[in-house]
Amino acid sequence: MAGLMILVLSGCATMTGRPAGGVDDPLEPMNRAFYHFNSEADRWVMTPVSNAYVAVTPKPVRGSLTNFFDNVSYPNVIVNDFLQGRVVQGASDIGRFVVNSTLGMLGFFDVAGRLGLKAHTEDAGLTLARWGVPRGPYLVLPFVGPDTLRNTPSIAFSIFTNVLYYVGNAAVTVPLSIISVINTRANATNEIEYVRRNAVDPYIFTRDAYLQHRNYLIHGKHLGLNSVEQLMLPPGTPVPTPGKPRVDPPLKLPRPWPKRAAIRRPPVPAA
Amino acid sequence: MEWSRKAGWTVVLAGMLAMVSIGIAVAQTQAAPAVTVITKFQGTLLSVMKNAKTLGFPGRYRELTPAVRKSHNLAFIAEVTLGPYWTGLTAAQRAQFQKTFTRLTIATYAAEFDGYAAGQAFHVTGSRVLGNGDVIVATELVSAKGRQARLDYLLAPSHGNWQIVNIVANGVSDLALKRAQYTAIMRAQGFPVLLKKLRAKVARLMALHKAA
Repeated sequence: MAGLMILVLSGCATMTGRPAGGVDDPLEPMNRAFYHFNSEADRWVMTPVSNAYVAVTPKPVRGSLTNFFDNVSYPNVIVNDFLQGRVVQGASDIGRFVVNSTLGMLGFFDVAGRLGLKAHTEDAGLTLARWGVPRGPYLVLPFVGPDTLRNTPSIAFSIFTNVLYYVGNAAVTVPLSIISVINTRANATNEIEYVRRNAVDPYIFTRDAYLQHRNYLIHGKHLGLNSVEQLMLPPGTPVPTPGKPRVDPPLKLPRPWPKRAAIRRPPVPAA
Repeated sequence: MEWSRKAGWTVVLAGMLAMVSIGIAVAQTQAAPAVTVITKFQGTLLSVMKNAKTLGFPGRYRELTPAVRKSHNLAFIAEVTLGPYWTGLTAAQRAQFQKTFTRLTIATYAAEFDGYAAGQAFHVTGSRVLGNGDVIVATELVSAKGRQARLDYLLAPSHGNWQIVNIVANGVSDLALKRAQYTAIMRAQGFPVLLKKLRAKVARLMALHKAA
């Protein structure tokens, strides 16, 4: 539980047009409707199911199932490694997949991780981003959650690169797919609860956290120089355009930034 | 002739290397006080995590209050989270907001850092001085299983001390998230509603952990 505040930010993540937060969200009314739908579906269906699953499944079993589902979906990472020209990483990921599928008993045990073959995060959305495809509008998809237009091919791509898709026996793949969804939801419980506890506007919190984290992944988990220089406000964060100000006295606008020197700079001691 | 050209290049190269080394050393020296602020704050955080159960929520809140106040420039962060709406607030409203924001920040730390897993520790992994003199301190939270999260702190000088003005967790800026939410509420519903929501969050965190 400790450190959850940190972890949750990476697990997630006004009005129409370009809102105060600076994120271009032209589909916000529709997105908010789907966000509400997903939240309610989660509250009334997935939360009880997930709680029951956690109650009857010991933690080590859930850990092994997570390893297994990660492994069967790992070809998605490998294919995208090579689509991005990351040959060395791709070779390492093939090694990881082979080791875990054999020594790791179909992936139930992360033997490769112990051998130093680290897991990487790649998908079709990251590949398209690195190819220079524009992000497109932010989307909230029913039953899926936060996404972007550029990232939507990832959904189909992840299905076709999943080993389970090629098993060809519905009696095996359907139950496994259901367990996979429940297991994924159970693993996200802390993040979902964090948003419920702490966000004052859960939609904006999730949207911005998601987009920022995707941006971080696109840059290979590095804070690029530009983003470092603008950490105070991330790139693309414009000065908000206020609507009807409801504070009294009326808004005087806009100073994009407090006078930092006046606030933060210590007096220079006399020589 | 050949020898002297070679020697010349060697001297130039050595000079460049020396300048780079000196530059790195100067940057490290400049960043050192900021790094100390982070290691001290994370030390307190770790101590609170280790004693979380015995302290309970009120104890964690009490222990963290001086550490957070000292290491974070909460007045500045509060101001930035409201963007341009800050200038439209009265002095009384600003004071109300800063007080509530401070309580919410400390309560969130006390609520979320409520336990310790074997092997958990914070490590400073690097630091760099930015063009404007501010400092980034890169850290990570590790557990027995490996790295749990990357935490980048942005610090700026304030009244002779270095203080945190933003925290970026796995690439997600805490300040940007708060600013996006708060300015949206300010625009749509106004200051009283925002203040009410933040106070409700504080009350809820307190109530949730009352028994803890």
